[in-house]
Amino acid sequence: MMSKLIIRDLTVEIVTPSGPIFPVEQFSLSVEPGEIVGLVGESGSGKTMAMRAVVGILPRSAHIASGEILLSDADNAFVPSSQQSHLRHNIAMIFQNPTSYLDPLMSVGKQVAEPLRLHQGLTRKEARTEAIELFRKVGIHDAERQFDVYPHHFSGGMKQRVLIAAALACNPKVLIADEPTTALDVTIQKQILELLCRLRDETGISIIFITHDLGVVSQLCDTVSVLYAARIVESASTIELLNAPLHPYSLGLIRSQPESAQRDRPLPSIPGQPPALNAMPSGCRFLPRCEFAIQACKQPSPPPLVQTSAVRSNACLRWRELQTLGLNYD
Amino acid sequence: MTEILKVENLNVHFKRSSLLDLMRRKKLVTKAIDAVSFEVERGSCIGLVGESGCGKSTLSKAILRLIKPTSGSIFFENGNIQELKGTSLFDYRRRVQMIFQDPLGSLNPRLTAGEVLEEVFYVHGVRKSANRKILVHSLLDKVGLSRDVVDRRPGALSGGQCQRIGIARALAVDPDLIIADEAASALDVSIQAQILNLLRDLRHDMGLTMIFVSHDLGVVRYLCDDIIVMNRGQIVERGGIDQIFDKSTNPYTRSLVESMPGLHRQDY
Repeated sequence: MMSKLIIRDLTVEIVTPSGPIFPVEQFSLSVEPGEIVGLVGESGSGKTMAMRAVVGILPRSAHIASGEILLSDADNAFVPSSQQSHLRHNIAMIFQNPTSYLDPLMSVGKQVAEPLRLHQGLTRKEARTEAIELFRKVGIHDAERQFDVYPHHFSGGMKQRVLIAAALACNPKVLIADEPTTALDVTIQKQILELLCRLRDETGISIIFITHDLGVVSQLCDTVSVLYAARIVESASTIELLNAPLHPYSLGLIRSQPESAQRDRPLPSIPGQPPALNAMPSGCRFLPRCEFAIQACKQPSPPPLVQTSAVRSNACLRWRELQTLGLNYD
Repeated sequence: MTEILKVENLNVHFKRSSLLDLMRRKKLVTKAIDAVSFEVERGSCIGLVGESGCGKSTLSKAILRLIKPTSGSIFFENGNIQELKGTSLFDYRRRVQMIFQDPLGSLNPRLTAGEVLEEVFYVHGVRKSANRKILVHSLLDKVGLSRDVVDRRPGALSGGQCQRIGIARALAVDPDLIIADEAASALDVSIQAQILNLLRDLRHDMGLTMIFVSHDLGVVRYLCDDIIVMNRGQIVERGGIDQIFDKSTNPYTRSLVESMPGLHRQDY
């Protein structure tokens, strides 16, 4: 039985001596069962922070200021976020650097078996059998022998597989993958992406995939949300977003991919840099870097995310014009 | 076109015998660079690609004369760099410069950006402080930084700004050959594009020769004329953009190119 995850108007606050800052603002996302959702943004745009809030592992200085996180249970009824344990049991997370999330003094098998013993009350023997089964599922060959091996024997790609196995141990409904392939080589990255796809097909798990690489998104994700300076600026299906972005920032990101650039021309880049959290511009946050900005963009509060069609939403005031302009890549 | 750099049958081996192996009289070596030969033409941009551990960085270090090759030789403008001494070595160090991957890690956190750049001029003989300041300013203009960054330390600069300082430092002494080791891969996409453009423009304006070490094939395709694919310390293939990306028959090159996550927009 798979579940649907809904995040509604999530805002995360960090109180600093110079006043509160908001690394995530009015973040809304809905994840259908078996869907792979991409979360794209630059460092500091709040993608990791939003997901940490969902799993309940925010740093001590941060807390959820408002918003709700809902995960449907077996009867398709939504359980509110106040019941943290429901979320924690059903949402698992994997991280960018597998090495630092594995205990170097514990065999990899034990680390996968640990949650099984703690949460499902399995005996040592049962947990071992189950863990070996999980190892097979994530494509670790010779699983029985690898159970007693320590993390330093494993390559980065294999460690990431171990981490995925541990995340899947208690049959989560949603897997949050925070840049799981950024530290890996392209050939290994491809294997891990294929693994995630296969797991989704086999188990119907939903995946939220955090990345800054649009190429990975185009290969893996069904829908994608683009974050800029703590806010979602555009959500759409992957195909729609990549072919017809309706927010200048998404457009800029797609254009600045070196893969799609022509060699004899300068790479189209977005001028300037993202604003700091404690010095957000008023109005649209992309305004200082935007080539489509008009006077209306300077309104006091950032433009809200509006639905532009049944499955798309956008936070640009001029999205209609951008649509008719039929923005192309030149 | 003349060649500026020529690597001939270069080998760099590292010993990796444990104490036990030595007691058993076994000597194990890792061949980090294994019989590598290539030339670099003046003014060209060579991409050096391969997975981690394939010897890209070891090769760059050998060219910079930071590690001693086990055998083989490297010629820079027909002079063997192993034989350089004194002033000729100092001159070689000036003419071959490196840009590092980690923009923050390669700058001294206790020096301001201005001091980092001035130091280079001081070492290379500009003893008058006022003259150094002028040179630093013109350098900042060249890499697209505003002049007020001179008083800031790396911690107060963004990743993109730090990388520009790193590039400025490499350009300060008017080098002939630049080795850029993953110079853009630690940066965000929108900043990465700015840095790639900067490198591209500088290369054309100053007539630099560049060796661009990267694992990102997309970046290499955009920036380089010629690509060397390495695997396990050996050169697997060398060729132009078309050769590597479209026509290669080498299985390793193919697997690399096919793993590249491109934007698949066509299936819309």
